[in-house]
Parts: sequence; C-alpha cells; structure tokens
Amino acid sequence: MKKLVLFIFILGATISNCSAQAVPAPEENIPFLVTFGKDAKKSYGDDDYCQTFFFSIPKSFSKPFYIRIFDPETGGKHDETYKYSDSETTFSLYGGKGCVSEKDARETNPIGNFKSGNLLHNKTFKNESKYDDQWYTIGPLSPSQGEYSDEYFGYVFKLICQGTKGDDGNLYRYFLSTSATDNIPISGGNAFTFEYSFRLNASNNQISHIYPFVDDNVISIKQTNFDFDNDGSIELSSVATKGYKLKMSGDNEIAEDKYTIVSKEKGTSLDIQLIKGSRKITNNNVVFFVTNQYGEALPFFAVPIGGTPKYAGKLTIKPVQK
Amino acid sequence: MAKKHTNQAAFILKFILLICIQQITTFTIAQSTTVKQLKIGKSGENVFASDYFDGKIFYCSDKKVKSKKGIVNEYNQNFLDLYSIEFNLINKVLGTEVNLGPNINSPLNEGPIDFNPTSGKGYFSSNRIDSVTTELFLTLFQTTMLNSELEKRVQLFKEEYNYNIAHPTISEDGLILVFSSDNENSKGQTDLFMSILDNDKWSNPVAISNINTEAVETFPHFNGNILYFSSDRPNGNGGLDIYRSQFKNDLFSDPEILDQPINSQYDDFLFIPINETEGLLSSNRNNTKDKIYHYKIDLPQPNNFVEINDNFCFSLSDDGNIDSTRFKHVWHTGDGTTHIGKTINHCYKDTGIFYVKCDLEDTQTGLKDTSFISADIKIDIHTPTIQATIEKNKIRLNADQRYSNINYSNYYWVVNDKIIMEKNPLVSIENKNAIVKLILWQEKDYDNAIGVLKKLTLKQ
Repeated sequence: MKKLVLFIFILGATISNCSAQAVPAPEENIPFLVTFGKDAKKSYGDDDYCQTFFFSIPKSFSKPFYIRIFDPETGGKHDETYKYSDSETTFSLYGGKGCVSEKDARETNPIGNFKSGNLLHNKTFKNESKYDDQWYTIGPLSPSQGEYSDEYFGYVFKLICQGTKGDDGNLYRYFLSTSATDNIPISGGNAFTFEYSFRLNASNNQISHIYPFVDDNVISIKQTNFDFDNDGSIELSSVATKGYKLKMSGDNEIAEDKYTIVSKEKGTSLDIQLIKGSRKITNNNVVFFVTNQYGEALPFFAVPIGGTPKYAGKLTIKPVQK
Repeated sequence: MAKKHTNQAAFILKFILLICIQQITTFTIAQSTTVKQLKIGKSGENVFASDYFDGKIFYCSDKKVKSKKGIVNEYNQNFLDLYSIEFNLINKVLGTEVNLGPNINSPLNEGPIDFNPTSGKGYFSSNRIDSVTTELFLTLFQTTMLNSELEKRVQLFKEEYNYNIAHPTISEDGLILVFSSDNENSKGQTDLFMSILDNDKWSNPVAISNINTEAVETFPHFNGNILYFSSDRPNGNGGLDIYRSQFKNDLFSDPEILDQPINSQYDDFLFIPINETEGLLSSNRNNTKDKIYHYKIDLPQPNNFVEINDNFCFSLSDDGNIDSTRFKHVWHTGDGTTHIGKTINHCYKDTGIFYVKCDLEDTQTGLKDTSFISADIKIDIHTPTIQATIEKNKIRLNADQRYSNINYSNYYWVVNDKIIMEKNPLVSIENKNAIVKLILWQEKDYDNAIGVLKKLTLKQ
C-alpha cells in the first residue's frame, strides 16, 4: 500500500513538472519560440524580429527564482541559419512599475514605450557554442522586483527577445524555475505573451495549441496569423465550440477573421489549434495574435487560465413524434 | 273484425301492452345520468319512440283516431299508429305531433319505425291479413323519406310467413335488418332474427343465437355497431330491461345489461341514442302507460387537460458550435442502444431513468473524449395515456392505465370536440389532425376527474 501511495505521489510530481512553467508548455506542443535577426526576410516567419514574454510570480511566492533560457545563442543546434551564423539576439528583462501596466508593453508590435519598467538584466548572444543547446539562467530574482498586477495573478516580469543583428532565426525556450541549474517550477507561476512567434513541428499531422484568455469584457475576437504557409488548418475550440475553422495564411501572408464570444466562454481560455497537414513542411515559423473588439491584444498563457478548455457540448433534448 | 285481430293483439300484448301492468314506484336518478319524461301523448295514451331522424322523434301511439273511431282490438284497445314530432336537441322543445298519414298508417297496427339515415329508408311493422286464413300477422314494410315526405309503404318480404315479424331496425350500412319474431324457431315468446340484403333481396330470417333466450327478446335498435334490445330474462332489474350487444366480425357479442337509471324495475325498451350523451328510451316506470323519456349523461369535466407524450421518443442534440465533419458524436442512450450523429432520435420502450452519454471521436487524431455530454433522462408518467393505432385508415383509441397511480373505472373520449362513450372507439379523422381528449374518473367521484390530451397527426 505504501508503495502504491509513493508511486502515485511521484507520478503526480512528474506530471506537474511537465505541465508547469516551461515556455512553450508541453501541452502546447510547440517545439521552440523563434525570433529572427532584424535583417531577415519577413517571409522567414517573423514579422517584427521581437518577442515579448511576461512571467507571473504568485503573491504567495517570496523566494528567489530564476528565468532560464534554452539555446539563447544564434547558430549551432536548433537555430535557423542563412549562409553564416552572424546574427545577434538580445534578451532584456524588465520589472517594476510599468513593466506590464504600460499599454505599449501589451501591444503586438514593438513600438512606443514597449520596453517599459526597470531593466533588470540585459544580454546579447551571438553564435556561441557555450550556450548552444544549453540553458542560460537569469537570476536570482526577487518577486518584488516585478510589477504587481491582480489582472495577471502576481508579480510580473517582462522578457523581450530582439533580433538585433543578422538574418538568422534564433530558436529558444524559457523556463520559470526556483533553481538556477534545474527546471523546477514555481507553484502557481505562469507565463504569457500578447504576440506569439514560434516554430511549428516538422512532422505532419501534429497539433500545436495556444490558449488566449477571454475575460468578461470580450464580446468578439479577431485572430491574426502570419506566414502559416497553408500548412494544414487552424481551428478554434473552447468550452462552447469545437473545430471552428479559422482562416489561415499562406507564405508571407496575413490571415485574420472574427469569432463571436458566447457567455459560456467568458472567463475561460480558448484553444487555438494549428493542425499541420499531410505535407511535410520544415522550418515553418508563424506569428499569432488575438485582439478583442477594441483591438486590445488578448494574453496567451502557457498554462491556460481555467485549465485546458474542454468542449462541454450543449445538450438539447426534445420530445419528438414516433 | 276484432276476431281477425286475435293473433295480432296477442303479439302486441307481448311486445307492448303487457309491460304496463307493473307497480308504480319512484326511481332515483344517478349522478351521472338524468332521465326525464317528454310530454308526448296524453296521460291515458301509450306512446313509445322508435327513432330520432331528420330532427324528429318517430313514435307509436295508441291515441284514439277519429277515422278509426270504434275500431279496437279484442282488449278494447285502440290500434297503434306512427307519428312524428319535432324535437329540438338544444332547448329540448317539442313541436306538434304529426300522424304519418295514409302512406304509412293503416286502420290496423303500425309498429316502430327505424330509418337508415344515409338512404332515408324507413322500416316498420304493420299488420297484414293472411289471404287464406284471414288471420292478422305482423310483417315488415318499407318506406323512403324524400323531401321530408314519406313514400307509400311497400311490404318488405314477399313471402307470407305464418307468424309475426315486427320491430325492425336497420344497420348503418343498410344491409342487415334485425327484428323480433315469434316464429317456430323462437326459443322464447319472441326472439331476435336477422336478415341480410343480398342482390336487393332480403334473406330468410335467421335467429341470433348469441342473444336469444327462453325469455322475451324484442325491440332491437341499431346504433353504429351496437345493437340495443330489451329482454325480461332473469337477473335483470325487473320487467323488460335494455341490453346491448356489439356486432363485430359478423358476430354479436354476449349481451350486457345497461345500468340504472336507464333500466328500472319496470319495462324499459327502445333505447335510442341520439348522440354520445343523450337519447330516448321508452318505459312505463312512472305510471301504467308507456311513455317516452329523454336521457342525458352528465359527464364530468376535468379542471384542465394535461398533454401527454407517451411515445417516449426524443431528439438528442449537441447544439454546441462543433465541426461535425471532423468530430463524430457517439450517443449511448442508456438502454443499450448506440446512435451516431450530432442530432439523433431515439424512442424508449418504457418508463425509467436512462443515463445518456455522448462520446466525441476526433476523426483527425483518433482521440476520444468520453462522456463529454451526460444526462439522466427520466421518463415517469403517473397519468393514464392514450394509445392510438391505425386500423383501415381510422384510429383505434385505447386508454392505457399501466402508468397511472389510480386505476380509473370510468372514462369517455372527446375527439375534435365530439364526445365518444365507447371504450375503444375506432374513429375517422378529417384533415389528418385530431385533438383527442380522455376524461377519467372514479365511480361517483366527478370532482376528481382528470383529463389527458394527445394531438394526433395521421401521416400520409
């Protein structure tokens, strides 16, 4: 009996590890985030050479923590190199007031005062074997260095990744950890972005998920995707919808369409699925964002708020004639 | 002259006049049926109704007629003639009595007349004089109502039977004639016989063995497929009582006696339903003379009608926004049945609680979401239900009480506002639609009568 209890405990811990603050999260089935150098063609799959992610530390957590970056350099394994690996990527961490409350910080384009808040850490990576296929750790950080926000469930930090030089694609991942050397999640921690730039799986029929959160004020949304290469289909699912087809973009194209939110979906996350088709397209990078009826971007959470939305159906029973 | 009437007079005694010699006592009117004497004929006259046709009561009367002054039978009684009188069913007002005249009435007896409402043909009994013996016998005659006038009577049977044939009644289809007779095959004083019209010829009379006894069977009257008649057989209320027998598949069912106050301890005969709730009967219950009575069945009315759905058929649907080309709904209806589709129809066979669940299969990934929808369907009925089955383009109605908390002893139907008292009626439905109401109550408990309703649509 003891053995059984222990086994259950370990199994639970393992599951928790897998589903916690890895960015992208395993449930998203997204292999890498991607940011290209500022000289890259947009057709490579990055429209603004910049990706901003926010990390949220729950109020209840007061210990030091770390933000870890996997394969931060440009070149070597994982990255998408054109001719020479001569690109540079700068990771800048911000905290303090305005970090997330500044409107420009929540825009889908890096314009205006998007680098708001206090700069806590800044590092530029070139083609460096030292960081190739390795983790780079920022910290220790104190939660209080972030900007407290009820809306985003705690102290918020902002990590901006910019392709400051070259035309190569930097593929990387994050982990919000309590350890400088291992990926140990923070209970209740989360990560979110307002514009998602990521690499799709190379193998066909894979389904990637991103989870925009719909608050009570949302009436309708507009999804925008860039450079999907018509690589299968894009569908929306939620507690009230399953398999709603969204417009998908071709190579170096933008596609967008609207979807009306029903009351049941308010306060829940949507599950936008990028379903690769039967064609095998490698190195497919895509940009995705969702705005509400006012043009305000919705946050995509790595751990979807309210859990992964599960379609509940809408059962109607009516008496009929024999 | 009177001597010639001997046989006829004896027959009348059997059929009509003997029934007057009874004690006079009061009778009670039950809660559900009222019986009221109609003011037809003077107090000293015998009158009895034989049909309601064309808005008129047709009846026999031994009223003294000037033209027959001095003609009496051997018992010093006047002969019977046929009359009609208008009767307004709404306000129950009677018109003026009319003698049917020389086309129908003769100097001798004319017995009850019964009309076929479709053809307008009327059948009645009257005396004929035997050409050899000059004896009087009752036999059958026919007339036809044309433009409210009755044609001159003609004798129905060409054969000259050496016995009495009287009190004819014609079936709804006009093919079966039932009448009383005292012929040599009779078990009792008089029995019921039937004759069938075949190639415009009436067959020889055949005794209705299922009805006849050693007692008197007389005064038959068809109403639909029910034959009413009177008999003084044992175990009745006294005197002649009215019985009913259903004619189905060329057979008459075992007779059932009608309840009081239709029957009394006196002579009750010629039960003539006019519609489902009212009609006529004749009886000597109030005095020594036969009189015509109007009966009305006061039916209980429920406070409301509950529309029932007892076919237990449901449409189950996932009305969510779902791509049904990718996701396959697999419904388990809780009774061992599985259906596939976003919307399915399922009929349960009985009441119960059924756990319904639906699985969702992703045809793209092969993943299965088990029981993403689940619900209990509880089918629970505490009232009687209406069963309707199609028989020959008509609908057979049946009151199904297996789910009912109370087993109701009495009920009637209302089909498109027409009252039907029959237990399992076979009804025609115009326009393919019908609102069928079933009203049920326990004996003498009108206050707690309940009503259930079912809307029927006949499919092409």
